[in-house]
Amino acid sequence: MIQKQLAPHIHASQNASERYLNMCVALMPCIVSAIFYYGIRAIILLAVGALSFFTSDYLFAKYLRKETMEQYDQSSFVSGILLVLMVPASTSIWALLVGILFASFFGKQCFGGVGCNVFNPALLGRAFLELFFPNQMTPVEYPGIFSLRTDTLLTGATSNVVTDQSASTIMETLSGRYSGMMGVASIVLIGLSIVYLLVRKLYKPEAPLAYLFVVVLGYFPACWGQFSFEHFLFWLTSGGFVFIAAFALSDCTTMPICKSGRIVFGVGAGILAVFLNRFTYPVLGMVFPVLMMNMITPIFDFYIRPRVFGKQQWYEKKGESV
Amino acid sequence: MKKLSFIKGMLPADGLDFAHKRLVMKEAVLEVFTPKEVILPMVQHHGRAAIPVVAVGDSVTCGQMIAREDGNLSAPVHASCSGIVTKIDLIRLPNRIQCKAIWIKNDLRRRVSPNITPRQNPDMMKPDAIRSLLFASGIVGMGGEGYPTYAKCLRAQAFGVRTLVVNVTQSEPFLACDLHIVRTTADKVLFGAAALAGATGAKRIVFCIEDAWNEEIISIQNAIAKIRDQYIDRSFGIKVFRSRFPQGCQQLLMKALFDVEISPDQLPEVACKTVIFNTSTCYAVSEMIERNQPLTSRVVTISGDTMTGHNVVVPIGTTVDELLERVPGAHSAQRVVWGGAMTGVALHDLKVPIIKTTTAISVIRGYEPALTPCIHCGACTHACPVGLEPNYINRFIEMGASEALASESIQACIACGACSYVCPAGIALSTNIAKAAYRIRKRGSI
Repeated sequence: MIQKQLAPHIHASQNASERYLNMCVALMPCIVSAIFYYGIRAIILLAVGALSFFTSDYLFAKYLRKETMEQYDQSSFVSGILLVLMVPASTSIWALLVGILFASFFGKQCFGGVGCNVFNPALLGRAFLELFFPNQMTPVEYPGIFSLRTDTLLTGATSNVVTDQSASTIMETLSGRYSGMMGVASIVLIGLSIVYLLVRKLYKPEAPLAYLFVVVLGYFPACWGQFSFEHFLFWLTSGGFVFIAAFALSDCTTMPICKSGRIVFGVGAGILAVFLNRFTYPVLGMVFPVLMMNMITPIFDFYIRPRVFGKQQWYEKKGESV
Repeated sequence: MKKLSFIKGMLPADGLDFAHKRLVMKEAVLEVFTPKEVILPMVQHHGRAAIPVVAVGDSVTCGQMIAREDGNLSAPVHASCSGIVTKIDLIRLPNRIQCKAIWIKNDLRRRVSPNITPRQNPDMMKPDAIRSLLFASGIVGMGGEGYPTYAKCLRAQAFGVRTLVVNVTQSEPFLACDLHIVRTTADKVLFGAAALAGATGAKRIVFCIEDAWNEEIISIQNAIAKIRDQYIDRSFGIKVFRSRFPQGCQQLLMKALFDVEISPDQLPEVACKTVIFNTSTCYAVSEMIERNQPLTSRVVTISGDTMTGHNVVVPIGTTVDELLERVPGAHSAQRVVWGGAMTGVALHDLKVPIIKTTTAISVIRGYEPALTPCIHCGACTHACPVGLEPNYINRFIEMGASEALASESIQACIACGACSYVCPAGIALSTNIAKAAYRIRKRGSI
């Protein structure tokens, strides 16, 4: 009856699995908006993405790394859903499967499974798809089952939507009703996700805040001469900056541990994002800055560390009076 | 009032356990417990073991000295009930100390040693007299440190301390014995602290308490207002801390009070000219001065997540087994912890005594989190009050990388258990680090 165990004898309630399940719940608003705008196709893509990512992770872990099942958690679902939310609805299922296999193997299992990955697997998969299936990655507005606007339903939007901001009003931008990637669009729904993550204490705001600050500042030099509030909002959301700040920069595994390291990470990613968004095209500006900073995260962890208590002995000057 | 704290750390279960602590305080009935048998180990303090001066079959009275001290850094042991010595044998305490112990069977007659009489004018005692009395009555640091108070007073006087800190910050979840003492008998604690200040030469007495305990703060303030005029040469103060988990640790207290960071091998007496005493110790000192009472009983919190709490006055040497028999709600326990839930030792045998440094018996629902791989979330680093990175240290320990560990200042770990508490992967970080630190100290390598 009496067990002998080691201290501490009580534990915080949240374990790793619950953390990832909470991430899945936080992705719900984006999932709902994707289904709302793109209909049945979004449901199919999301289901295929989440399940195939889980399956490939499980198979790789079981037969390549010989891992037991109880060490496994739900991070694959998060990665799979994130990846699907970042592709346009025109993606074919087999391209998605190839991207997921790549992300699962080279993004996660190569490094030793969950917790050891250097790159964010979802972003790695998205970058792979962008490089190897560029013709499928052009944003197309799909006829959704709940679509509101009927005049462009049949014709579809133009391919390069970032320059075509004339059609989008503030309301359309806020609600995400413009063609692009499936779940990236709505700034309001992503805000809901962030609130949920903050309530669940899964969201460390340092890196996202630094990132968004740099990106907002970078809007003025990047889009010189065409300032307007509508354009600014559209640029911010369609470039995927808010989505990245909400979901990629809250992934603790690929981020530095220290707060100051996270701020440096956010600033670096923000600068790169503005440059790539301005001089290449938006998806690269969304995905690659975070991957580049992921690459040097171990260096951040090595150099930026918390100060150990009592290492600096400067007590002679102080400690005189209470 | 300005609230002090260190920067990191955490609230156990997001403040839930503080609510539970409030429940402990509400339910607390300060009942005196009468055991059938007591076991008095010879090592209940920091230092050399005491030497028994009674033999099997002797009849002893409550408060009679049954073991004398061995040298200066030691403390005598007194009988905590009247009765007959039945056995003198070796015992192994949960904190891995093996020593002799004296078994006394209680005859339930409450015969008290003739030395215990009320003193005529307790305020007029000289510092030398207080110190020799401290030496004779076996008072040690009752917050868990166990350093003989006599030796601590001498050390403090030698370094010329200016401030005496009374530590009321019981930040561990479920613990409320010090808070209860302060709430009910703040004037006695204050009197004991003033006497200790006289014995150490400190001029200022500071109470450290967490902000959640308004009643206790008010009772200290009232006691100070009452007693202030009697002590012209000493000043009193209260410092309020934010409720944070390992706040009671002396290094973190010094950090919050003076903004001075002391390493584990430094003394607060040297670095900050400050000496720290526990609330229970101050209470025991006032009892000693008023009635010549040696240290024979202490207040113990019996609490946990399966039951409402109790603060009980327990004669030292009462077995945990006997104590839990009379506490309702303790039967459903899967784990009984000797000490607090964060740093205590789980008992596999309940036939162990409560000693002078036992603050609590925690009755915990047995729960071990599932062990999953580290996800590099950084929760342990953010919770560590001394700025270590437990996830990397644990990885080095697993790899056996002594060279990498050497640069990690692993000896700064205060073994508070915060990293293991917050770890979502259920890794026993603090245990691994404490073991490795111990091995490095002993052998020089892991």
